Amino acid sequence: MSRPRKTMILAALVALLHAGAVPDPATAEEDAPEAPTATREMSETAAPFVKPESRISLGLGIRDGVREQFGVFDNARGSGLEALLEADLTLRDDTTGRWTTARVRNLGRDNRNVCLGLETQGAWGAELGFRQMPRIAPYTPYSNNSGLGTTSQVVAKPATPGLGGPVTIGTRRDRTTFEAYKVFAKDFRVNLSVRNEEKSGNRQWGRGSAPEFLLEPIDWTIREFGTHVDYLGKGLQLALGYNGSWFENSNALVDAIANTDNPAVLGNHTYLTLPLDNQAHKFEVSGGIDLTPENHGTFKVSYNRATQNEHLPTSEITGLALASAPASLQGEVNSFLAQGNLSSRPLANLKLETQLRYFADEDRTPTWLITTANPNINVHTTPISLRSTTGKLEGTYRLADRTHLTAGVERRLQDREIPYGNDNVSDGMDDERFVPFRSDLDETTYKLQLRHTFSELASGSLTLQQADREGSELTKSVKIMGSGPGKIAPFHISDRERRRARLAFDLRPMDPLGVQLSSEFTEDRFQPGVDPYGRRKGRTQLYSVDADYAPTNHWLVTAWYSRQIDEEWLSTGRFDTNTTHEADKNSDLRDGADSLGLGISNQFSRALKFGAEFHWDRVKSRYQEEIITDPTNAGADPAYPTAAGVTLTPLPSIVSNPQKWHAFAEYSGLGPGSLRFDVEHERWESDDWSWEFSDGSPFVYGTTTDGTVMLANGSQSSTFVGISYSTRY
Amino acid sequence: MNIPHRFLFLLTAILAFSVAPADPFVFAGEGTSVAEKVSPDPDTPPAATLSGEEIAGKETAGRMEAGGEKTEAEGEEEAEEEKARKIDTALRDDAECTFCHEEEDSPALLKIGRTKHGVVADKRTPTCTNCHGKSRAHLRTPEGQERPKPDIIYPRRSLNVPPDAVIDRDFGQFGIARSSVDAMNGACLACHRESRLTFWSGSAHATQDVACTSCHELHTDHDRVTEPGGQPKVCFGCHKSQRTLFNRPSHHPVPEGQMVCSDCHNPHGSAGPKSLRGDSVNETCYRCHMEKRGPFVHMHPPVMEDCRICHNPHGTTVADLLISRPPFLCQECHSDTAHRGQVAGLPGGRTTNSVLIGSAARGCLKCHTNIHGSNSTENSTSSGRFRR
Repeated sequence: MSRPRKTMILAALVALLHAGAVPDPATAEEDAPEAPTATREMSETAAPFVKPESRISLGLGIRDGVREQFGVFDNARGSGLEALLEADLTLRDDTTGRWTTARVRNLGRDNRNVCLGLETQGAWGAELGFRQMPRIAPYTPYSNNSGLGTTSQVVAKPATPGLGGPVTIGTRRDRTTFEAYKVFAKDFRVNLSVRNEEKSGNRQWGRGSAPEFLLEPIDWTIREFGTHVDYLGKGLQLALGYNGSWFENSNALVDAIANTDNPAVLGNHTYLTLPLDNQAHKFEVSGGIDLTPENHGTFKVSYNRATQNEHLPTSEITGLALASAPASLQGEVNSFLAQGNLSSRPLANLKLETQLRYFADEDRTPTWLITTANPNINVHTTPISLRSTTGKLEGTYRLADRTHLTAGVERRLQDREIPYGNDNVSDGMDDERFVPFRSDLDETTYKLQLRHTFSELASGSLTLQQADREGSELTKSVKIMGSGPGKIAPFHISDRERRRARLAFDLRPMDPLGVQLSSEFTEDRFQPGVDPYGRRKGRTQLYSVDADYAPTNHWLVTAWYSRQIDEEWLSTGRFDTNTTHEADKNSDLRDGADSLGLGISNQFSRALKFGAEFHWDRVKSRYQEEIITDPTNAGADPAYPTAAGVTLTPLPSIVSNPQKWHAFAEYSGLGPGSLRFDVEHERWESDDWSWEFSDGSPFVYGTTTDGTVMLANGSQSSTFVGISYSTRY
Repeated sequence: MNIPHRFLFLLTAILAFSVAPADPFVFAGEGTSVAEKVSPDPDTPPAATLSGEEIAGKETAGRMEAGGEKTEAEGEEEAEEEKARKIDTALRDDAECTFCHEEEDSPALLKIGRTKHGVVADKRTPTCTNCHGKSRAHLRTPEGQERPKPDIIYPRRSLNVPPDAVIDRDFGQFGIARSSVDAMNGACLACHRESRLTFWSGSAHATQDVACTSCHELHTDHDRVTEPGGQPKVCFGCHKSQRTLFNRPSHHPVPEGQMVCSDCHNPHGSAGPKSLRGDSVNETCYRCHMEKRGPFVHMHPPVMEDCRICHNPHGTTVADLLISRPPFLCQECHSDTAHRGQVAGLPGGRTTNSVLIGSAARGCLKCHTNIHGSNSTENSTSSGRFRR
């Protein structure tokens, strides 16, 4: 019996024991709360507003067109009929406070969701849920390869492009959850949560040794069990909890081979490994306490132990691994958190927030030698531990009745372990590490905010932030052969200066009209230091306006528009045959997105309501790269090289333009029932070249192998018409 | 776990909880008006008129103040009114309020009776004054003046938008609060001390003076922020950048209603960064993406450090939520040799050349296919480079 099963059964036994330990119904009756002294009396006209309402909706829809892009998460990719089944059932027993609920969504679709609940409010409650979540790739491969998505896959060779049937790439999660709580005594509550998730399907993969098309088999089970006991007193709240989680993969290894290769030869096989079973156990205690009427403290301490000690499948294959390589990784990562917060009000007009936090990921996985294939670059496992300490102080002072000034500072220190390395030629460079590391980081963030309420109808805020990050020297990673160490500063650890500003303004110039304006600006400047390559600058700008207009209580109009621009400047280098500097490259990457949303709804009469929504986006991604060839390298390749008659060309921009229209009309003059019509039109236009060659033809894997052709539809549209009948009671 | 095991577990758990004695959790505030315990900010500007919600003009109130000689019929009418005044409608002990705020006057307000607050059998549930204050002055209209407001007044979007109207946008954060945020939130926090609220004080929303009612709607059985389709719209009311990111081609299924913001964040505050449910970014991501947790034989260091180094969970223009398109993303850290430092570009046709193939299709990931980590112990340079 596997450990998760044991734990689940143990949980069930604990629940059984609990059931046996509680008083019998007769005793419970004695301990039951006194009967409610207040009951409601209401007129027949008031009752419909006070009694919980249930609704069942049945209908039919028809869809016409192609919506591979919009159908990623519901698997409704083409034309067809759809059953429209939804329900909200709520029963409440007013004398006992017992709720019985059922929520059903999309029952006739692949993204169905059902949730059943039973609760005696204030005493106990339980909820059982089921959710199905598909995710289907918005493109289609046509492949000759066989066994795709299994543990034995065969690449076609010789390959004729486009032969073979279409392959669906996608996964589906079937998630079952159970949650419950029980109140004990006066201030104690026990919570229980269980999740079982089966994920099946496949996702795009590759053979590894060449750009060839394979599919990773997905047959996973994710389980989670959590429980916490809460004490919820007036001045003190405590929670003691445990959370266990288990990942199980039915497969561990995939064997890929070309159909013309001799399977008796070990070197003809490509053994691709899969994620292995792993588990984690977390214990935590957290709470809040009123220290004084003006001081409230919170804290949390947690310890999480994650392990992966499954048998490594490649260790079984004779001749594949070193004799010193492990049969089990004995992987172990321990995480520890200790955090305390204090919220205080030392003065009537001053609030202070203080936080001290320590978080560590301690990787206790042994260091194993795995690879000696390259004489200069032995490869070991890379356990890395990270320890962060953060201190924060923020104060908000009320300058006047309607003005608040906030100032804060936060400092974060991080201790970063540098993994085991090799200096095979004693030149001071780590021949095993391809990327420089840093042993510590130090970042300080300052914040200043002004909030002001101009009047009952206008308010706004301005927030400024500045953060400076620096750290120890970057290590010398593997040298570029013959030309010194890798000269790059990875952006997530390099010296950085960040500036951020946010402006928000709310205005209601007249009662029916509300307007909100907001703008955000963030700029990161990375300090190159002695390392010429890496990210140089990043910038994000956002401008947004929202409005709602309700001229009467029958009409509501909403509108919003946002423009967001994300930019990045990156400097990189290229060396020919790994020895000589050939070119420097400066990349200017930009995503510019415009989004617009419009909505209108009208209660035309007591029985008739209608509404419409329109959503439009336009995202343009630009990939500019300036290539500065080294004039001292006469034999350098051209900026855009050619190999075997195939030439590289600069990346074009990509413009994607999704649109959605939705309109509905609902007639409720049928007693308890109502009739609803929905019309939806979706359109997707994109010149995304991800699955194309530079001439616009479909991308094909391999040259003399594979031949899988990828087809993506850049122009899709779909129309849906649905009619449904709902009854409420 | 096979199906019988699951069934056994669920059945026993349900039984265990259902046979346990009903012992309602009695809050400290029971029997005491929250308003008595909440001290509204003395410096809060006086409440402004809330004409759409007020009771002004209520004929019954007018009669109450009319005074003078009473006929027998008027006396009987008053007695009936007095009797009616003691009948609760939506909440426990709400008769004094619902006498005026009845179905003709304020039908939407009565819908609070449909909610958890309206369970009269639960002794902890509040009455109107627990949230709105004792509001004694509100009961009488001084002659020649407008009726005073209740003690604690909550913001509304527009007087023309009914409280339970489903609208697309909600300008919660900077909404026009009529009472101080401390007073409004104090009314809620006097009763609500669940563990999910432990880190409310000091949270991003608390320090920004976000009111509970900026997100939650109480006088409706469809509180939008607790419903999959509605919650993101509430959050986007303030978080505009996240709204644009979720509209990018690659995103988590939040716009589709398959996920909600609170699957990853606890808007009431947490011990994690960015109010995440987990103690770290990765712990939050591993809840659903547990296969990435490893540890792996060959671990890609950024993976175990922070998923956001390569992914933006809200949305991007590149497949799989990558923050940048390969090879640019990979070259943020790997840029030197002819292969790793290759120029970004599209090949003119079929090729397997490693300096031409890094941008098309999945870019570098076509070969470095186990980029999160590999469990291969093969003595090969490929295994350490996430190609096995």
